Amino acid sequence: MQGAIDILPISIAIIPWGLLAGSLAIETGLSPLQAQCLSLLVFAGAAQLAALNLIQLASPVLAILSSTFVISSRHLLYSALYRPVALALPRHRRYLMAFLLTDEMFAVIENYRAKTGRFDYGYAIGAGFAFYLIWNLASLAGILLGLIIGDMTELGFDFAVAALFIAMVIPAINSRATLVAVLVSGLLMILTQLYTVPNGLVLAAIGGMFCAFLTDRYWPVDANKESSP
Amino acid sequence: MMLWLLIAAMALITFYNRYAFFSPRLKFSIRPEIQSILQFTAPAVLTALWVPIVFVREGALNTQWNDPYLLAGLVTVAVSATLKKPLPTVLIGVAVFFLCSMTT
Repeated sequence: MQGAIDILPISIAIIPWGLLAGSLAIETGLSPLQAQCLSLLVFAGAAQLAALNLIQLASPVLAILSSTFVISSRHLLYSALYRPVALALPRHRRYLMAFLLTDEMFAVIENYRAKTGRFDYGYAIGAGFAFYLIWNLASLAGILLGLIIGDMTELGFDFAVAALFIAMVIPAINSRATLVAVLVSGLLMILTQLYTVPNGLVLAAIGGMFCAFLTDRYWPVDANKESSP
Repeated sequence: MMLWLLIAAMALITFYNRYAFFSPRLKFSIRPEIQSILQFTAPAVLTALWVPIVFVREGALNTQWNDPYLLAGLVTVAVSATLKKPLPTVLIGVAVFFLCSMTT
């Protein structure tokens, strides 16, 4: 399936994170079954790692759950973006697509949409399910490593993910509005990080999207046409 | 038992965030303005995900020019703008990152 093939590079980039999530869960005191269920059911890398850190710090349940909500609230944006296509699907397909909807699946579907101009359910599920499988296998390997070796520390895994998102965003800048989206959301994200604003990611993304919308509406020059008169 | 409840609650929260707007019971249709704002979701969210990894270090602006994240991040942006092909860009970026990590 094309979707599964297209998501492979990103899936490989997140394997170290899966290993980390699995071994950290064991280190935190979850049973191997609980650790695997975390990846099987929650299926959200950043939220899982944050929750495990909070459990290690003996944080209250409410703090853990609100961190889960805040970290995964960016998915609300994807959910809104795909509302029109999701409403055309039968209920069980809507559930399946929502369950599999991750940053990585979203990035791959949008890439496909940019190329072909259409949304394809089979393609989306193929990509989403391949990613689910690899994330869970990586978590399982991490659980086993955690049981055998113990502590596994971070080794700059996050850079592979950053490089991947850079490689997807930069070539997609094809208009002044998209450039504004990238610059504004990047700048806002840095500011929210420096001043530890809660839910900075969603604020930065919405700020960037809104400025891009204004640019598109009031100053809509195609960047390609401008550079080659 | 506590941990099982926690896992279940987390699973419900992440599913809710992904499903929220898919529900037909949510009575609203997305206005054209909102639709055209949403078309910028990909560049905005993906940028907000990678920018802090490259430019922020422990709550402060990353100004160490020999920092592998900053250096390799800027190289990756430049390579990406030149090649416009994701896979070679990632490979070059990660190679530069590991080279920088080894030398600093």
